[in-house]
Amino acid sequence: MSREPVESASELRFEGVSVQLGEQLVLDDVSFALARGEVVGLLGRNGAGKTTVVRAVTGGVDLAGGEIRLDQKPLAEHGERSLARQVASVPQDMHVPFPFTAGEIVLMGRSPYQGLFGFDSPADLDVASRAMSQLGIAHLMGRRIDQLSGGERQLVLIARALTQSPDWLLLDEPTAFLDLQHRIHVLEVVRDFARAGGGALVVSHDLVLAARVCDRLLVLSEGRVLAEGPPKEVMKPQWLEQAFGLPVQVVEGPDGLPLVIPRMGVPGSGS
Amino acid sequence: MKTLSVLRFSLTLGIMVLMLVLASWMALLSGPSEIDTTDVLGVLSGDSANPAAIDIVWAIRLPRIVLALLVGASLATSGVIFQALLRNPLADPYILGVSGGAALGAVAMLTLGASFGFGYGAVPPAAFGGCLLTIGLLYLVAGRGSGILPNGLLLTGVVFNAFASAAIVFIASLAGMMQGSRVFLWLIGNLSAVRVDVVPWLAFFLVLGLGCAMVLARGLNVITLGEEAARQLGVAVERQRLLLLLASSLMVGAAVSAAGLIGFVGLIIPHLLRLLLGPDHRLLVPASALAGALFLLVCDTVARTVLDGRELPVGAFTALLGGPFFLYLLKRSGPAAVLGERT
Repeated sequence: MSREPVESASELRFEGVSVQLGEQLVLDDVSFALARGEVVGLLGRNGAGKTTVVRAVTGGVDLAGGEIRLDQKPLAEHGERSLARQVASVPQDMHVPFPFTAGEIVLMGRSPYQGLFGFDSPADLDVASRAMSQLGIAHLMGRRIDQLSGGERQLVLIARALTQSPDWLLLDEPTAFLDLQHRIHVLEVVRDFARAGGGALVVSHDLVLAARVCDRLLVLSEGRVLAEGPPKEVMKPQWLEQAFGLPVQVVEGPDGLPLVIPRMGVPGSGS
Repeated sequence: MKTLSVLRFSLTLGIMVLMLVLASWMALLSGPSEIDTTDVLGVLSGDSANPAAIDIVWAIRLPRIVLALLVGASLATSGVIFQALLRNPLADPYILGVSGGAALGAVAMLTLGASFGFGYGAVPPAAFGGCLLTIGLLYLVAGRGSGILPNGLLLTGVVFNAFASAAIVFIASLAGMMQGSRVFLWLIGNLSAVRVDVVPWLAFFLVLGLGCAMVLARGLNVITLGEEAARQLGVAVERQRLLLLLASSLMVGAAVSAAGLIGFVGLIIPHLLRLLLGPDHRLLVPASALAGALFLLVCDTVARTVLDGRELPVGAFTALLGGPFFLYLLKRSGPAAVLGERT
């Protein structure tokens, strides 16, 4: 996908990023860029390094090599608070040891904008309740986070990320615990976020929806970028079979976008 | 959206301050010597002609009340801080062995330090050093990467506590401190030997620690979500954690220097308040300080008046309440909820 020079000025760019966890090289020389206005899907089998890509941005892992730049500037030079206003991430799940309500968790997304001790401003409350309404969880506001279902908790985490009012959104399997209706809704929210000028990176195992929501796809295999491009170019058996380790058939769906069908009953497919 | 409002904040704390004033007043009137309201009012306003009453109020009861308030507030505040930083509702300076480390430092300084010419003034710094070393030990044994294993943490604390008690008895017996109840005072804390010289330090460290925790309360909320989540939300986790650990060590060190090992205040108070007020640290931290002060004052007043003419050490009293409470928490929430996942 070709971009205008103006657009590429604002981007989140991985340059030869390597991450080592223990003995294992989890990311090996990964380079790609996320631009404003686009949704990029990150595909790959378990352990391919998808989550590590997200954690590398949010400071959960240290880089063994390479650099991540936001708007041409290395991440470390942005400062914690400034970075938190620009980039928000949604983890797969979260353990909260204390009985905070969903509303309180979402409101914590305003942290990078708030000073030290103080009360939440009406503007903070407004941003938080709009995010919750947008995800259809306004009714969960007063519910305790530890009493929500996995799917509801996931929606709370997405609402928290939106409450950070970020320019960039990184979502690690945001729809893993959601039913089909909520999956579609969340992905529409992400697409709206990108249409409004943000850039989103979505880790997903849902190849059908990824092909329909993402402008570009990035396939990771054993910590390396295997393929990158628009869904129609990337969703080809040669890439997917290598990435997922099982034979697949790709057909054109009624909407003109690729549909991936795994071939069942072959060795390695687990059936 | 419902959140912490100025009204709810000030109303809650206002009610607690009122209860504190009321309890202090009751404590002033309680004791083996009969002094009534008129006597106490007279003494406090300075126109009492009763020398016995003046002495009892100014030299005995008031210092003890102030000490109970400061120690209780310090222990409860450090309890809240430890629980948030370690993401574990069972973390308490006593259970983690941090108080034990402080007492060990204090006793070592009292006995061994004397031969190097150190006076009582060196005891609080030694207690503070004991706290820090214990926290270092907890991280060394139970720490994994930048997090800490909750069950490893509690186990290390329990074992270290037993070790610290044994070491205290050992050092004390070497130094011939076993006579009377001097070593007993350190093992089961009590407020009967009020060291007036410690009170200003205690107050200073409480203001410092409580101030830090209140200023960083929003950060504490976020830190309970985990280190990575907190960093992602723009909180300088390492810096805040270091600052708060130092602040709580100072509070625990001062409290232990003044009153020995008083357990479970930092466990019971934050837990009850979380049930009543919710887990928002902006309210929870100051409320815990006030409730801890109130709790220890009431416990101490009961402990010194319930048996005619004899005093129970208040540390025994809080442990009698706290032990079953700890087990109840463990049973009710289940080991999984308490031990949780690794942070």
